[in-house]
Amino acid sequence: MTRNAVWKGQLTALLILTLAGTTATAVESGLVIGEPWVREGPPNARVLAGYMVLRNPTGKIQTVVGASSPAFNSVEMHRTEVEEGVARMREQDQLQIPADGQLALEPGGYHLMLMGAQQSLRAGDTVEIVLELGSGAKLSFPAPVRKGTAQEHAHHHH
Amino acid sequence: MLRRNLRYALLSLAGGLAVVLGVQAYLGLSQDPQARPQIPGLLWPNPKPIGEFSLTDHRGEAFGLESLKGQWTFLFFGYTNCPDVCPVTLAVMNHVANQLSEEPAKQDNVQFAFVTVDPERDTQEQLAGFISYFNEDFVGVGGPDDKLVDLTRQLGIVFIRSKPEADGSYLVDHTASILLVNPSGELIALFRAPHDPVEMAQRFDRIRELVKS
Ligand SMILES: [Cu+2]
Repeated sequence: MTRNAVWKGQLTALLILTLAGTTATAVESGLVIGEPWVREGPPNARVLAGYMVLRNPTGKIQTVVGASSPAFNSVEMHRTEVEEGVARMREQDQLQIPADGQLALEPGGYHLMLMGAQQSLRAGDTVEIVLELGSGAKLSFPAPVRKGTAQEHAHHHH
Repeated sequence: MLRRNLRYALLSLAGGLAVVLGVQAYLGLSQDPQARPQIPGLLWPNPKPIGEFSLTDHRGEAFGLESLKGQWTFLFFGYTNCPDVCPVTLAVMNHVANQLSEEPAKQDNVQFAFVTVDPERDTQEQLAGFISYFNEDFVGVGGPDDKLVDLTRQLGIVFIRSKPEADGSYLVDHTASILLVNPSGELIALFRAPHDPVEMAQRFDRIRELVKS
């Protein structure tokens, strides 16, 4: 998947349909995954972060209540907050995606905390990520590993 | 599930807050626009002298006050098990370094250092692998808690370790600002998060010009 894909969410939704026959489709689950990626870390990194945009095309609120990946020992949902100049990561019990809205998981904000990689991951690799929704459905999709840049958080706002 | 709200290590917090509050009080008092250049986070003309401290860099060399003297230092405090804020900040510092290197005269005399606030997990080897991924010229710095606090307390750096989980893992809250130390070994500016590397490089230029004049 290139960064220039015009509508990455739909592309990803198609991938879900074709790659993960047993899991819910975007339509069934009520959630569309856009631009998923995992930040490449140093070769000795024990923890990586995963990002994406969760789009909710339905008229009611959607929740993500858990995450996992066969490529990692465990996955947690986190939020980074800077308060009084101090950065804090807090585990989130669930992520809420507003009706007809979206929630961005992005550097310096919400992210998936990917712990204990089964093998060293480099840019160009792809990992599978599974999100468990409040409805009980599971959404599975591939996320490419790529290098982070210094600028991608600059448009971050609270 | 949010077990991490329970914190147990308050190392340097009290001292750190005191310095932070002191700095804020100072900045608050110095709002006379005629008297002060409008550069955010700048402590000039009263930079804070840094006292002796004794840490070790990722090559095993001593890193102390002398290591700060004679050059400008961008200083950031974090830990290598931090997947979000620390990689982003190191990427920013790398971008600043690249910006400066576009004009070799400016890059001269500048170093970038990452000090771990998690020395137990961040061994010299771990630090070396981490820091060189971002930039081969960056310096990774560490040392036992008592030595670490000698530096963090002076600079108002806050770090708070969460209670370990069953598997032993824990998170560390830490100051998000990048600090700038002048070639005399004095804290001269704070770059608050979120960081824009282009703006930081420009601000650094202005600070250097100002101090020169
Ligand atoms: Cu996290």
